[in-house]
Amino acid sequence: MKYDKFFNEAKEHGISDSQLIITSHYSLSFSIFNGETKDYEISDGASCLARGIYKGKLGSVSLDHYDNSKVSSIVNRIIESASIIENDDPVFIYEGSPKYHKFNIYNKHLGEVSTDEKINITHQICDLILAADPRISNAEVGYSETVVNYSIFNSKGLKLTQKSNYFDIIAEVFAEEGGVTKSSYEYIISNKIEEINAEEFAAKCVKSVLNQLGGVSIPTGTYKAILAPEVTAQFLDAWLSHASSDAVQKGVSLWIDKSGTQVGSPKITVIDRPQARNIFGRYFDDEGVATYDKPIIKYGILNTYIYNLTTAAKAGVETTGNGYSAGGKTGVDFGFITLKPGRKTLNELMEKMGDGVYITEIEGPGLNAQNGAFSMQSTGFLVENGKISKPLDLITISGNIFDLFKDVTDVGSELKLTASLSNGGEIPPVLVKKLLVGSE
Amino acid sequence: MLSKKLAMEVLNTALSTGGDYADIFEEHSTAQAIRTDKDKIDTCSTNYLDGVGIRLLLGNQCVYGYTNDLSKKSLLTLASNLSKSFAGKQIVKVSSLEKQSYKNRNKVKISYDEVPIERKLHLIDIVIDEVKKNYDPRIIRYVCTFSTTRQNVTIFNSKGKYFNRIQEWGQLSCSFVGMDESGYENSVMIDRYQNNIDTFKEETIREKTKKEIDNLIRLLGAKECPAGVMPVVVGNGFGGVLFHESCGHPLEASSIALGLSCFCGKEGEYIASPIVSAVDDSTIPYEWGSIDIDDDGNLGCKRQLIKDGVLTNFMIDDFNGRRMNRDGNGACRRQNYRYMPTSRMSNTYIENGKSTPEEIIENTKLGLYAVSFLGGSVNPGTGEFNFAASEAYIIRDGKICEPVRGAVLIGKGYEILKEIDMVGNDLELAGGTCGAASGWVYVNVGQPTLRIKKVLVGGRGGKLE
Repeated sequence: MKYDKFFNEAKEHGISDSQLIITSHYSLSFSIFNGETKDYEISDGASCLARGIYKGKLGSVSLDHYDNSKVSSIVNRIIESASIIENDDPVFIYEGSPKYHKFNIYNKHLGEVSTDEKINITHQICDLILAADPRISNAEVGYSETVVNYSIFNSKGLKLTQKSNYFDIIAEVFAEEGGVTKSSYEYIISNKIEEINAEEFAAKCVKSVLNQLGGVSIPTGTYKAILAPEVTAQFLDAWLSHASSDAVQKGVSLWIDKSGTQVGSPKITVIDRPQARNIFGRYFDDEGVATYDKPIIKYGILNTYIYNLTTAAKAGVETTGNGYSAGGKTGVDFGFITLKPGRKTLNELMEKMGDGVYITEIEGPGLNAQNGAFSMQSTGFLVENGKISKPLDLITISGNIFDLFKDVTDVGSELKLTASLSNGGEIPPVLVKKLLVGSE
Repeated sequence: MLSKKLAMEVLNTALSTGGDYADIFEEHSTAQAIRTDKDKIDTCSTNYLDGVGIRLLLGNQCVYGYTNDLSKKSLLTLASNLSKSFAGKQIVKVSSLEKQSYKNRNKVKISYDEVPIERKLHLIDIVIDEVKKNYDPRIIRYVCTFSTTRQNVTIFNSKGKYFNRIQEWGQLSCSFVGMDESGYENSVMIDRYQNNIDTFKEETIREKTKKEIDNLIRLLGAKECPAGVMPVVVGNGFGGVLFHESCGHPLEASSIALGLSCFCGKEGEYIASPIVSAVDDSTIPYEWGSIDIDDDGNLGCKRQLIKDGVLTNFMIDDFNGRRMNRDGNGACRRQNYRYMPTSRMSNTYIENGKSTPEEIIENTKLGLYAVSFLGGSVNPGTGEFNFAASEAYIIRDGKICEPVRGAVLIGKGYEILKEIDMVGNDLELAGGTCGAASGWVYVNVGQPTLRIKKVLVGGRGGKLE
């Protein structure tokens, strides 16, 4: 086998078990700025994360390109790394799960579509945006496509591979009126290029930016609010981090001893779905453990923490297949997340809210995941009598995510596929009963 | 390093269809991080980065590709694939490559690769010892990390030049989590240098560690920051992230050249209060953001961006400079070979003014004193920026009063610069990592203490009274 030289040499040097995680990729990207091709990029490459257990400690090294001539150096670095580790946590090189629920997320068709065709679609979107309204001042539409082959091989005979591909089209559009410039940022992420509707996407981008022109200030105060899916996703990511067993074991989770208790509104059900049949799906985690879907929050009650092999061993439970690499270590993270949708459309949520604000974007580092406090630059609209009435100019929203998810009174029905969670998610908008809005 | 013969072959293959410029960015870098949690080393990881990026330009078009297969076949294939973007005849041919000399102000004297691991661990031990000396039961976790980066780059270009640039950065950090009955808070101590391990001084490490512990404890007891429009005194050093976000990014050629900056067409005009002057200087020896020669092969320099409130210059790379009819001025940077380079900041700061920091505080009746920041972000096209404070106080009747937490400042860069009405004389620089189109690069921000007449502040503490 290709990697036997590494496994054998590692063993000869006292590394009891060893593992290679090999990722190879090909990518293509380009951007169209105001109708002209601005840049074009192609790349191929690989990366390798080598790990080994030496005298009971896990050492690691990562490098760009594995070949057998580097084996001695890799082995030495693993030993050097393991030799200084003092932490007594149990470490594992995994022999494999009894059964894997494999599924295919690679779409062969995407690779068969010519680059020219992809450029044409992107051009078309850019042209449609620019032609839509004289107030549009600039538009940049970028296309980026990646093919990834992700494999784990180890000295216990484990061999796992998953191939995936996806593209994203990102449009940043600027519009100007009365000396004030506003921008919008919309994207599509998928691996089914045939499903792109250029007219629909361009219209969405245009609407999104033009709607922001003529912004008004409102009095600083507390408002009912609807959070758009992208905003909900960013808050959800921080909130769910407290279900990590690693955070619990290190004493920094706010959900210590909260399993089985109410942590959010009864309207909130969150499912960890690594088995989702979309571009974010994974049938094994970064430790080689088979993944499975599971509810994390059920009707607002914390159902389970998530574990990798190490944290599970420390807690005396089974891993939940949530081991994800974070540098040399394996951390704990979610797979694809679904926030279970409710029954009301966005318009119906607005009708129910009556008067309030609709927050569509949040920006900046003002979210503290540790204590849940947030104070962030935001983009949004004033909603009056159940309808969007005016855009809001330069506002902040402040609060605490632990209160926010208790204050959810309704979850919308329209799911958006988003990359705003670490391994993706599909998230609807939510209605919250109060949010502090800062304005002039 | 690639042989000159192979480099020329690759450049000529890329240029074979009419490209007017090409370069090769060859990189062999090492990054190492050692981390302790609960006083025990739990991670020691090393990452080797070896790859090549090839850039090909024709007029205002740029094509870029990279690979980490460094074989001749792979490099020529990549160059050939990139050349297919154009369909003309070769107009630039590289027939020789001469070494380009430059003044090396950031010479690596002792490489981190040669430093025994015990010396690196000693720095972490100093932090741990200082935490223990200042033990407080409210500190529930602290994680110390010592990380180093060695970047070894060789660039060959179709101007017939090549040069090698080696830089090293070291960073010692400790992130704290504190908890009391009011909840959790966190803070981070950072000590970092673009220089060798001898630059780390025990006294400084202890001082910075103690300061962050004090800050953490203050934050735990702090009230929520009030919201609304108010005068804000911004502290020196990392307070410069204000200028970095609100003005620095919109003055990069990557925004200016495309008309995507609120400062387009404003050269020679007042864009700031007349008491504001600002520079970007990549030539300060061994500063965190310094760079002797950029990825275009242009020498680092001191760029006066704003002089007495008037916009005078930009950060420019050669490619974006084409659209501006300007030459690059040494600002072309990237994180590594996986990124196409573009114009970036280096050491960017507001210059000293005439007031003392004490005078600025004394002259503020009611407002916010934002001492330090977590960071921020900006949209150069709209000028809208935000930054979140990590340490802040209310000023009442010219005195620094109660600490507050959760403050975020937002505004429009082109408005805020005109609102600066006092500039201090206590300029300091502070290191950071800036993320943009060409990845994460090391930069310094900086400023003296200054006052902004009115800024929109976000927070949960109600109105400022």
